[in-house]
Amino acid sequence: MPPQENQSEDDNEILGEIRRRGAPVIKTTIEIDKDLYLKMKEEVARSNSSIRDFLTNAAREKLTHEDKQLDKETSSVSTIERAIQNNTFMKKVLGVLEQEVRPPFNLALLLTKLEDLDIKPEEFSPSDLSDEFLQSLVKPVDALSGPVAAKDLMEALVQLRRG
Amino acid sequence: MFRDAIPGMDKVFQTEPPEGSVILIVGNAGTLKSAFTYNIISNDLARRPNDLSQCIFVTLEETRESLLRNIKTMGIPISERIQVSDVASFLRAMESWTSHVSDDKDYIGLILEKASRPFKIYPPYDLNPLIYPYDNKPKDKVGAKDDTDTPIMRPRTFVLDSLNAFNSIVYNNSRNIRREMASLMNKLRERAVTSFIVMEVGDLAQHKPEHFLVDGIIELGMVETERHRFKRYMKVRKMRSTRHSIEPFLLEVTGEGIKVVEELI
Repeated sequence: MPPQENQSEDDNEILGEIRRRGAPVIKTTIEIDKDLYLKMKEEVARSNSSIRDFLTNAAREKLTHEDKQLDKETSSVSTIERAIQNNTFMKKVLGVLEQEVRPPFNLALLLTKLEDLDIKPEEFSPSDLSDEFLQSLVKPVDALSGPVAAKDLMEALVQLRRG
Repeated sequence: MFRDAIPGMDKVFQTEPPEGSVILIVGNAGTLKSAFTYNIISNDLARRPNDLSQCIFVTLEETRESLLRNIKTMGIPISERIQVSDVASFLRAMESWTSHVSDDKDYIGLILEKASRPFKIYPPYDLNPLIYPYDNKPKDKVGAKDDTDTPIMRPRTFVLDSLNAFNSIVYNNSRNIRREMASLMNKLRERAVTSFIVMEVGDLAQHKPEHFLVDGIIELGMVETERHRFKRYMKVRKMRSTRHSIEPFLLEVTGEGIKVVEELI
């Protein structure tokens, strides 16, 4: 097919896309890895598509995936925020941890250890503060801030467990 | 701090670098960067039994146990006034945290806090029971519970080992690594904490971005002698407001730590 005809066909498709979406399109130039480009060419030839459609679809899929991922993370975080708001004991433990570990690292540490022991944040209570759980919280603090900080933290957590 | 810190160091430095300097310790693998830095600080603290200053040594390269084992092997005295903060192990304990916390993780804030926060150490220390060693303030003015409360001492030096490992953590989480690095170094300087930033480099000429940000650069390396033996050396490439030699000096590991032997000719 002569290049001129191909160009004209492409332009028609672009105009068609503008009409379909009611939105403007722009032309752009990108630099792309040569091997990747050749693979794309093979793929579009096989599927009787075009490079432009291939890239457009790839970008849409990527953006949709990232939106979903973001929604998932936001939803997970808001669940945790609600759990903290509704759980006074969890707030106290976070407060004690904050003496040695600055936010948001204190929250990350506590949530990770809760997850390890399969404890839901909203159900976290003094009876969950087993010796094993306390050790798992204190050990990283020992690595970060030394044995005296770890000892102070252990004492404060034991105090919390006693109520 | 430098001239008396390691035997023979007075041959290299004619005057002391100012307190609060940010000093890059650079060299290839196996050139004693961590041990050399620890040795300077450990000996410096040992010479100050009464001012109770401290050092925070952030290790991202190896565990605290591994670092101290290597230091001991070289005959370098271990100081309990050097708090080795194993940040990498701390972060590893939270490997699944990314699914929990959506905020940007403030790694620089975490490390800066370590650099500036006094830490408690175990007695025995001969302290005036009415005075807190931190800024010589009375204990009740700095929030101590009572006279027997554990002493808190002021960090005098800070070590980040290494910049390469730190970059790999921050780089994965920030697009402004250069800006954040400048911010880290400026904040360390503002706090008047003398800081050692350890950095492994193959070719020093290829790693210029941090050079203009620091006050001093000490290069550690290895040279092959005429008899095909390898010897370690140190060379001060830059040290602001300090008179020093720019020649390389041979280093030797003795039963009592590292010492500067002689100028390498």
